[in-house]
Amino acid sequence: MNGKDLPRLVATDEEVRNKLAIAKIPTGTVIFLNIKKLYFVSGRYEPLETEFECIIYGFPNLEELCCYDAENKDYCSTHTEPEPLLAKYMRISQLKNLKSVEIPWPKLKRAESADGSPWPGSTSYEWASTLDNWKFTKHVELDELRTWVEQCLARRLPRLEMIQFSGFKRFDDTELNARRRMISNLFIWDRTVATCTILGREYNHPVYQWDTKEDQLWASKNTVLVEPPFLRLSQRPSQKSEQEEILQPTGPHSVKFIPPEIVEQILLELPAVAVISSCRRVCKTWKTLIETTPNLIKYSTTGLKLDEYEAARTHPIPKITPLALEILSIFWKRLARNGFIEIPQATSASDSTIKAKAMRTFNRFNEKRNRVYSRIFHYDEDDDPTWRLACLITIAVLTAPIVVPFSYLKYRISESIDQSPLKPLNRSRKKVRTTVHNLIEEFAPIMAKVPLTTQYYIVADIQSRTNFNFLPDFSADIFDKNRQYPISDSYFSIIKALTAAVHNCTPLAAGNPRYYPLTVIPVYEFTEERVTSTEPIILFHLAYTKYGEEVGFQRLVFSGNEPFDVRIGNEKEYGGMHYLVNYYRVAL
Amino acid sequence: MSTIKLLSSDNAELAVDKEVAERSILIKNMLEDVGGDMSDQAIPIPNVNEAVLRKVIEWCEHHKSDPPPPADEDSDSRKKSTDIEEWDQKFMQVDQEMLFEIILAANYLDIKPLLDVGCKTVANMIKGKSPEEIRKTFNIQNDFTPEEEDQIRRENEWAEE
Repeated sequence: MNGKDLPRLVATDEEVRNKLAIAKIPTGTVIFLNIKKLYFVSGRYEPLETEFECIIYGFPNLEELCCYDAENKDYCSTHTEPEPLLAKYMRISQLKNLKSVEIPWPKLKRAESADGSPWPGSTSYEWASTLDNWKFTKHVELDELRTWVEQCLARRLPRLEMIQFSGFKRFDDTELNARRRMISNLFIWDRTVATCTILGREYNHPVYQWDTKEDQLWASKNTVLVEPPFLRLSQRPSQKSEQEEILQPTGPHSVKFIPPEIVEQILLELPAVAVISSCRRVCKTWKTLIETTPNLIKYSTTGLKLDEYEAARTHPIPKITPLALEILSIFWKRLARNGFIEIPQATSASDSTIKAKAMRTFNRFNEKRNRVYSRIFHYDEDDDPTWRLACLITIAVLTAPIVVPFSYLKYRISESIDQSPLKPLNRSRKKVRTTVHNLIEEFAPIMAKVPLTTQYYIVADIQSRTNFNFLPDFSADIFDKNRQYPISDSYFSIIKALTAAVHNCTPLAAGNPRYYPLTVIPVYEFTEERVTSTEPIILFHLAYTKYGEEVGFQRLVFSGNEPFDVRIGNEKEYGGMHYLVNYYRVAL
Repeated sequence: MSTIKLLSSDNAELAVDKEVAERSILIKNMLEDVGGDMSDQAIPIPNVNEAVLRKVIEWCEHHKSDPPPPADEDSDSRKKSTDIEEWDQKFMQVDQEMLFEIILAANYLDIKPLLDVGCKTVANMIKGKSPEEIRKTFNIQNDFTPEEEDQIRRENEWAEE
């Protein structure tokens, strides 16, 4: 057959990348040029579309591809229409070096229909004919499909020697042992990996149920777990290969080749912020590693190593992720430096007008406060208070820390300016507001990527038409003496971004424990004498409730010599918190 | 106590206490496989040269009586050990090439605690450094185009104080 005249399904690299982009698969996925043979163990039925994409993109030089099923005896495709099935199979033809391929039977599950046609509703049988001069009859049979797949693949792959369709496929002992030997030998002695096994994404069970203990050991030690698009090799890459060029940072006087898994371990010992910012900028290899290895992805979005993160996720009590804390801390510091406080030049004596102003502002806020809280309680009885509470809590968490302590601190600092190393910036409110908005815009993308807690409370769907009218009393006066709409677009966008981040991470599946926002309780006793500008200034008490009962809590303290460090408070501090200006109890 | 012999990549034969050598899981497993009797035959360690192997053995000697790591690896033990022991710190005061050789050897020989110490040492070298400084330290070439670099820099703007 003359394959040259036929239209080709081959995608160029660029096309593949575009597709990956559309599928929201990060580019920069590790590419294994050196892998020639790949076992793909899918969870059920044939590999998913994304898994095929992943194989094609990640292993462009494959010569042998074997798709196995891990547990289903009846290993075959379950598409009800031929078109998507065949399109999927045809993706294989992008692997130009393939010599041998083993794929599931292209069996189609037949949907019952009134007129007896096998695939009711499918109108695109002609699709195939435009492609390969092939015509489906309406009642296409299994053999027909199979022939078609064979022919199409054979035409497109000049080196192809063998196509095998597998169904009812189980590893027999001989094969298993042979593979085990091969892989473990390579692993331990040779450092050359030409083969790897991939478990498909849907495969959630403990790695393959082997019969013997030994086999299990092999499986967990040498199997490459891949969740598209994050490819990761646990084996050592070979010392002298093309792969090395991709994975190894090389320079003219490069230190010895460091395997990526060791670089990974090193990076895991660093603070997450350093990993995201500095290390990601070192070279492409590191960037790819940070963005693609499962451990580092989690680490660089939560600051928790994967196992700790998973442990925290399954724990009934959500935890505030360390990275969210770090980012908040950085956010505050920058806000302080840009908006309110000059560090560290302590100069002149206190400015009585600033003090008076701050005092006025602060008092006004105090007056308002009572009213606002009573309103919050009131909303509990409202018809549908959930979203409002969610708004208020989010606003409390996100904006009140900006508003409240700064006003208070400004007042505090101006009062005790002689002792404080800090100096308030006497800026106009407009300027401060602009600064805040700019910063929020800058931080919004990163905040959107970083989960605040390891588990998430439900939030209501906040839309731009949400009515914020009841909010002006909340804190608006402090910022906005012009009585402008207190929730600006950028506030709104950050609230949205954060709630979305919080919202998106745990899909709404039945049976998940959920944490509903319940109440916001203010505690605002304080004794002025005992507070100095370097003592803790605010605390957020995040209580996690389940079925109305508090199951745990965490506290955020904004304090320290660097007054805007955020950290998790300890019990002792909590005890002394009564005199603090504000202590929010936010139930999630 | 029985002694076994290790053969480095440059063909140096080193005698080591079995107990010490068994800090390496690779060697331990190998000895178990052959039934433990390796007194007359040197075990080849083809990826590690003499100098590095001596260093690794030195570490194993010092740590031979360490309690075995807890079976549950996810427990708190790892979190607590963010700091490096004083002896280990001194041990790791070697030139950079040796440091990486030790890490690679620990990885190959499967000595997890030593690998951890090595990685932490390297992490401390990275801590607080700018990308340029990290590249210099590790002799890594900057392979980003100016546009790519600018893009990442913009993504990280928030982290600059």
